[in-house]
Amino acid sequence: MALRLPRDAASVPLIRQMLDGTLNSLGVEPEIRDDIELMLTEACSNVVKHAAPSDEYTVSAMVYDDLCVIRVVDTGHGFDPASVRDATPGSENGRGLQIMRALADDVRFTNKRENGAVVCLEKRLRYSPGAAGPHFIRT
Amino acid sequence: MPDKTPLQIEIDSSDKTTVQLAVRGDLDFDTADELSSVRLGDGFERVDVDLSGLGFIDSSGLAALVRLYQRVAAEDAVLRVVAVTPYLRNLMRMTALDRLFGLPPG
Repeated sequence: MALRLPRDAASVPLIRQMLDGTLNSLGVEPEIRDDIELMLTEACSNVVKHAAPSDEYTVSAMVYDDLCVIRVVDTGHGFDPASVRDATPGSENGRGLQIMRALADDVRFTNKRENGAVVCLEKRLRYSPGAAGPHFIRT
Repeated sequence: MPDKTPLQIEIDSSDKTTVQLAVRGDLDFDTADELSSVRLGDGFERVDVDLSGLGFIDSSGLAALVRLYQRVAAEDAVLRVVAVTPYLRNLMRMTALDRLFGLPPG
């Protein structure tokens, strides 16, 4: 699935619930879905907060066998993940990247040559017993 | 597809020294400001926050909790998180917030 979304706060719960609904239909285990919901939310809310001046961004999610690959692409000014420090216990910000790194099996941040950033998140899936997904997702 | 559960904040200040705060629903980027701007009254010494009814929380929700913690500390009072979901406990450990909020062991 791939969606182009307006860069506003309401887009974040929308895409989170759409992807969760899809993964639920495929029979992905709830714990894995919770992790994916959260890492996707962090990637999208970063775009809404920081990717000025773009008006829109795109989210795509692909499932290959037991791997879910999510790409969040914006047309803002890009950013350097190395410049974002981990949060100290009392600080308000800086936990988004920390959470993505902890929950995803692989995270990559790249800046596009023109303008904008790409966040690519990968998560290994586990399916509930008897799930529909594994029978028709074969690449 | 499940609908987003609206954020509900319940405040019980019947005890003069301890404000009880119960937060339910989705505490996220979209709703976090509602928590950090909640009215707590005055003269309290403790704020006990029950998060066991949360459906979802993200880093913006955690940031709102930290802001609330700082507001409470500025009044010379103490904020504690008294109940969490297992998922939230993991998330707070992951982000080193468990100690700040005085999370009960479990």
